[in-house]
Amino acid sequence: MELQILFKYPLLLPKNHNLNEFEGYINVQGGDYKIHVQRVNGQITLLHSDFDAPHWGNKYSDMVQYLDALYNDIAAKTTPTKSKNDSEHYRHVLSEYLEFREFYINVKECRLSPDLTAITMKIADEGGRVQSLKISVNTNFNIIEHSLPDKKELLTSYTSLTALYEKFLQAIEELQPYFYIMESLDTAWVLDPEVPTPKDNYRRIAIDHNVSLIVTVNPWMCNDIPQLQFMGPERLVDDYHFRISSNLSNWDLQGNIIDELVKLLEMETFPVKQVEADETALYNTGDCCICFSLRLNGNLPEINCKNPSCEQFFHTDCLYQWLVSVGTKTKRCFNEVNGECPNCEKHISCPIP
Amino acid sequence: MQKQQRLLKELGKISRLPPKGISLCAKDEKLNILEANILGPENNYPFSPPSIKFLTKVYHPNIDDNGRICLDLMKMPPKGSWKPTIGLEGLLIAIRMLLESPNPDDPLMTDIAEEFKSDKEEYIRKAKLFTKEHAK
Repeated sequence: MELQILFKYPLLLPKNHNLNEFEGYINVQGGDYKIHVQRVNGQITLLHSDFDAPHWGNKYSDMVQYLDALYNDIAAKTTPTKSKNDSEHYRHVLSEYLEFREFYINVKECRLSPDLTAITMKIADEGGRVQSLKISVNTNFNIIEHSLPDKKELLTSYTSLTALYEKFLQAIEELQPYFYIMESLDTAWVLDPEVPTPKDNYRRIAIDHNVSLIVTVNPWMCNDIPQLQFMGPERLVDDYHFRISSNLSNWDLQGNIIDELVKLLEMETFPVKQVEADETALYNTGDCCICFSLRLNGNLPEINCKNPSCEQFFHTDCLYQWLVSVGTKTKRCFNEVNGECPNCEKHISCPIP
Repeated sequence: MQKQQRLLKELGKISRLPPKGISLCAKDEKLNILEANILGPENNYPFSPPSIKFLTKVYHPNIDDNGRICLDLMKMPPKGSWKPTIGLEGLLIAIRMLLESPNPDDPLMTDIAEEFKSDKEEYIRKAKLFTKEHAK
């Protein structure tokens, strides 16, 4: 008779040899309910429960009958919860994780959080770059953070960890040419970003005394000619634009990007980074001549005075604040303000930040 | 009634989102006395010139008894000609030049300016005396 209990309610354990006291869980419609029951003098008493159990007094003397009644009572009060069975879910996560750990040896680091809800891993790609990945685990595996350039498709949900990893590896594979291009650009004098990450798909590189070029590469279509934007005095930029339009047809899609850019812009080489800034000057070429620095809240100076004998750089914020503080000499016009350059006093205009 | 309701609303708003440099709070239950604190505007260097004054007494048409200096470069346009590109070094050089060659046409001390124009020898004598006495 008591054996029946073990078959019907496997999560209930006998507390003694007489089999008249049980403690554990009964599973009803996917939910686990904790109970502790005892039979003394032919009467069943519920010693403890973690839910609101009915009080039946001395109605039951048989353990199986009592448990069946309790089961039906809970079942009547609850609605079936879908896959509330946590143990099965955890078993699934663990088996996926262990299988994954066994077969993927090129994973540098892999951690499953103690509550089994997140996995973080680091993977070395063929170029020796380390890519990182954060996965949230609920019913499926979802990529929530990664070091690669953003792509919507990567963020979909996967039923298997292995499938997710394969997809991520495929993305890394696909991005190899992009990484090589960016690394090639990094051999030039990069002004921005200060510390590039794989997500940064642009480089602002110095190409002349006070001209810089922003090269933007589409990570997923990087064999196209990159997008080019010049920053600097207009007369010099115009000249570069002219060179681009006459040389663009010679761009070799297979070539090294730096070589192609040098060819395109009719330069001999790119300038190399000035390791030591001039200590005697308060600010260097390209720095903003109001705040005397290159970076202000992460921004670089975007405005360049159009007067050829001035050509000083300004952060939009700095120039705007100056033009507004002089007030009387400044005129607003649509989305920009017009006033005098604080260096040469010639006309200068500044977009309203 | 209106007074209480309205003041509570106003006080609530100002304590949640205080305007820069301003605070306001009630000093009694009936809200008859409120106390406000207003911080003076900070110097907005380099968008406005720094304030500079002499600690040493100087006998000079453009420097007053309190050490205040009347210098075009230290005033905002359109009256003055301050520019953010000037900087401290430029200003101090300009002040040194002002000591060397006073500008009696834009005086702060009219008596001294008058004297500088009409009796330069007397002016120089007094200036030297001042220097001997104060500039140690």
